[in-house]
Amino acid sequence: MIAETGRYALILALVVAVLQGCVPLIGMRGRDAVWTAFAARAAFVQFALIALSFGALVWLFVSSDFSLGVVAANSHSAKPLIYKIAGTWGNHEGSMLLWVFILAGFGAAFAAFDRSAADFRAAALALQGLIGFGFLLYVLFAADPFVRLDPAPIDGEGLNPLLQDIGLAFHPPLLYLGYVGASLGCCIALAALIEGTADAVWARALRPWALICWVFLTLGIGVGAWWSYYTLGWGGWWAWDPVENAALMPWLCVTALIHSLHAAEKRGALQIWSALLAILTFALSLVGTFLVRSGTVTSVHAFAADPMRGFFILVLSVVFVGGALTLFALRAGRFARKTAYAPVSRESGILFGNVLLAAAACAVLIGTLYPLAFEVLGRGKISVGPSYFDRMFAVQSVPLLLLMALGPHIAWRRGNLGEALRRLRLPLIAGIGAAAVLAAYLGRLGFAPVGLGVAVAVAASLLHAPSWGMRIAHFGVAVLLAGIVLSSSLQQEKTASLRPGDTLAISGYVLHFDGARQVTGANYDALRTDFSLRKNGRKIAAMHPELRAFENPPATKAETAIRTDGIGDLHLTLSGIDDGNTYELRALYAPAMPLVFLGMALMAGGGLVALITRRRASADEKQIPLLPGSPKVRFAALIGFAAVAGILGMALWRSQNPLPEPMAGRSVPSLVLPGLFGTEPVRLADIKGQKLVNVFASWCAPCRVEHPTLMALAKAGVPIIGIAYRDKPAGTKAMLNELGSPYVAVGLDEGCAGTELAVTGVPETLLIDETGTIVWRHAGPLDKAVVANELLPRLRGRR
Amino acid sequence: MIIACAVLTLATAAVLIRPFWCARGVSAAVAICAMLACGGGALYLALGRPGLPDAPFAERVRAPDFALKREAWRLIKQLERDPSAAGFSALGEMMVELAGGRVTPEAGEAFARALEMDGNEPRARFYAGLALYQRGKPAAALAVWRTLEKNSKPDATWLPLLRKKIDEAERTENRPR
Repeated sequence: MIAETGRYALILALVVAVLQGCVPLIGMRGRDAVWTAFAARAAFVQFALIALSFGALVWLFVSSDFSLGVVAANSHSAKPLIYKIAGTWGNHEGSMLLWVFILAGFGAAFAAFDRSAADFRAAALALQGLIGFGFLLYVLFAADPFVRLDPAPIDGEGLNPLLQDIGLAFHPPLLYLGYVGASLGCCIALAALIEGTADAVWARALRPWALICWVFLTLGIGVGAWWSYYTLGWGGWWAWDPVENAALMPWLCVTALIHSLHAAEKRGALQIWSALLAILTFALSLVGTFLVRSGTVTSVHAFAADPMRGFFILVLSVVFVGGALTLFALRAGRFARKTAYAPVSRESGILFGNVLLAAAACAVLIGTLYPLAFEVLGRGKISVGPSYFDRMFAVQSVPLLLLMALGPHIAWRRGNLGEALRRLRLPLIAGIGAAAVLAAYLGRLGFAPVGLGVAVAVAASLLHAPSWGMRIAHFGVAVLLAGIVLSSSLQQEKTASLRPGDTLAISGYVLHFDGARQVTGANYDALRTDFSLRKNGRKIAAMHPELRAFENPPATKAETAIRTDGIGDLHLTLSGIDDGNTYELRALYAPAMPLVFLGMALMAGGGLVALITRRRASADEKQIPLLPGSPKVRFAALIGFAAVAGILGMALWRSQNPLPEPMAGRSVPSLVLPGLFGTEPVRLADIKGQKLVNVFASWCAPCRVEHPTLMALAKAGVPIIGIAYRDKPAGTKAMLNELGSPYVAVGLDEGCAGTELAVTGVPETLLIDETGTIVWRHAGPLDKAVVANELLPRLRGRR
Repeated sequence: MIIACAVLTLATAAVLIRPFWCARGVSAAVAICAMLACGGGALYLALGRPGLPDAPFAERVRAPDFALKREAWRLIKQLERDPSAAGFSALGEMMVELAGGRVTPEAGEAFARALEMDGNEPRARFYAGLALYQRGKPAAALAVWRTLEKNSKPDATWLPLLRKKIDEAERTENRPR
């Protein structure tokens, strides 16, 4: 009854979305106020219906109703309540329902709070209705959360223990609020294009929604970073994973948008550019959704990948974004007004900053899509590593941050650079001083001292900033940068084998190992160790890193203990046990880590402050109409998008067919890799007979998912050679100690093995026959089905 | 279910058409109502399962045979990871118990798996015999059971039950048809 009502409400919402998309547009044509006013009413009704449907799904998860397919596949009767609730959106179908729920929520909020002209509002809501229609179609026909099972299974299949975490409860909804907020921004910009309102009104209508989108994206990225930081247990919080990039690209775009809107609102400048940014933000958030959901890119987040869904989302994106960009190209000319401003002015500063942010977004897009494009063009497989992104960002962020310090001190229309620099004298001196101190301490120059210097200069320059929201948000950026620079340059790491009673000294602390015991959690058994932390001989805290064993599905997970002293974070990770009473411990002290998360929180807080403090209406709104932008430039965005869509589509096409084996028939390259354990190098050609080569990494969550499958294969006597891909040896050792090693030998990839074996990502598994030829390859985690259907038939002499 | 759908449709329609109704745009109001009712109804008939009731866990736990079903389900999960002859025959026995003593084809399959892994698994052999007996082949059942009796140790726990069944089968076999 509840399940079926939830589904029916969703179906009705689809019909209402069609009405919301059509009726107001007909009304605008006939200038009929009743018809245009229908948009707001439909937006409320659509929201109420989807809320009902989403509420039903949450209820079904809470009551463990396994007659629902998603509940059976993703929940378990013994799971704690909070994870039952979080499980609602911890899977593909539920998360897409959350997506349309938030979309409808934004529509209803816009209908309730926006105070623009009726026609403009109706156009924005009608477009929002059409987007809602597209996604509701997707939910109902490609990702239906209300699929029923009859008879219902006895119990659920559980949830991946890695995802069973409080971070999961908040990370996706926050990120979705950001992504979906971008859709509303796009609709408002398009409504302005349709209506041709070439004044500051549309910018003022868009600003709060762009800010909301920005705040939630910032929070979503921040919580995601924090989550991976404290659960994955290797001290990292950003890995340039394709899915992380997918959130970063719209964030960069919307960051540019809120700045350009400021200029549009105050001075009527940068209007076309702002409209384009609003559309691109939405386009990039759709690309983000596509990357997460299609499985074209191997990623930490690819738990529910399905090419069919990817195809559906790609079609939706092409229709929405292609339509939006076409409309932009056609109408931007009429919409264009230009205001005059000098090369040295706040407008120019904002434009320059926007260009830098857009370039950064482009760099991330290129880095994320380059491997796909390379593969689509049949040139083989490559991967773009963190070093590309790190360097790219280091180079681009320095001018951007200097601009951040300088910009607010330059006046609108015509500024005085000399005067601004004079005002920045003290901050610059402070920055150079801080850089010099860090350089002296480290004994070298480089990115770290420069970064710290810039951060200090930015922070100091904010004393005279014009508004509180901006002051807090920019201060957050400076704090974040200082945190990144200090934590990466000053961190200390130690690994040790400890017996009860042993001590370990790190960064002024002494760790005393008191012992270990077995404990039982809600749905796992754990080995819990007791460490007392002493400083200057006094005990100040107890820390308990754990090794947890989950039963359903079976998995082991190391629970890192993290303690912050306000200045830095101490991490203790248990990586394994030797001969019963010796515990492998990895201790890491990362100074200034709290600053990273404090910085992100400050940025989001600054956005909120900007949202609630209304800006004074500007007195100077005189506009000087100039020539519209050239058509060539306007169509460029459309062509660029077509290229991106083409690459994604072809990548998807390829991923649906078996991967073309680039090494087919060729014998295994005579790879010699440095061994992980001991001194012997691993020679791939040395291990005789049929063998599997498994490329993995300790930072890769799907590798942990496939680990039990590998263990089973190893138990069945299949020799597996492991290649640790772009991983720190300590991390690999910790993972293998924690989970057990299925490998006969483990080699370290120092950059060339991945390319020589044409590896696309991790995990990837290759089957090599007796003659040393690669006969089969599987990208992504191995599971029972792949082993039974693809691998076993190819393994000779084994069942 | 039909009532819930109808109420939901009516409420939605009422909220949506109110302004049209007040402005005397009756044809538009009727069109909206028709779209809601027809679109919603047709899609629901295509996608929905109107007859299928909810199955909240707390309610299902109260069913008399739920504990046994749950045990069987756990055993299935365990056997997927770690198959064993004893496990499969235990699973088959649970299925027989759930079916009220009848060896169902599913249970027979579990015993077959057990015997495939270990031809001497006594419990599976006993139930293989019982399946034959229940299908009206007492002679074949007797053959299976007698071999099992011969191969069992004299202090085996299942001997009393086995002998009782053998007696029963002999009587059926000797009864004139």
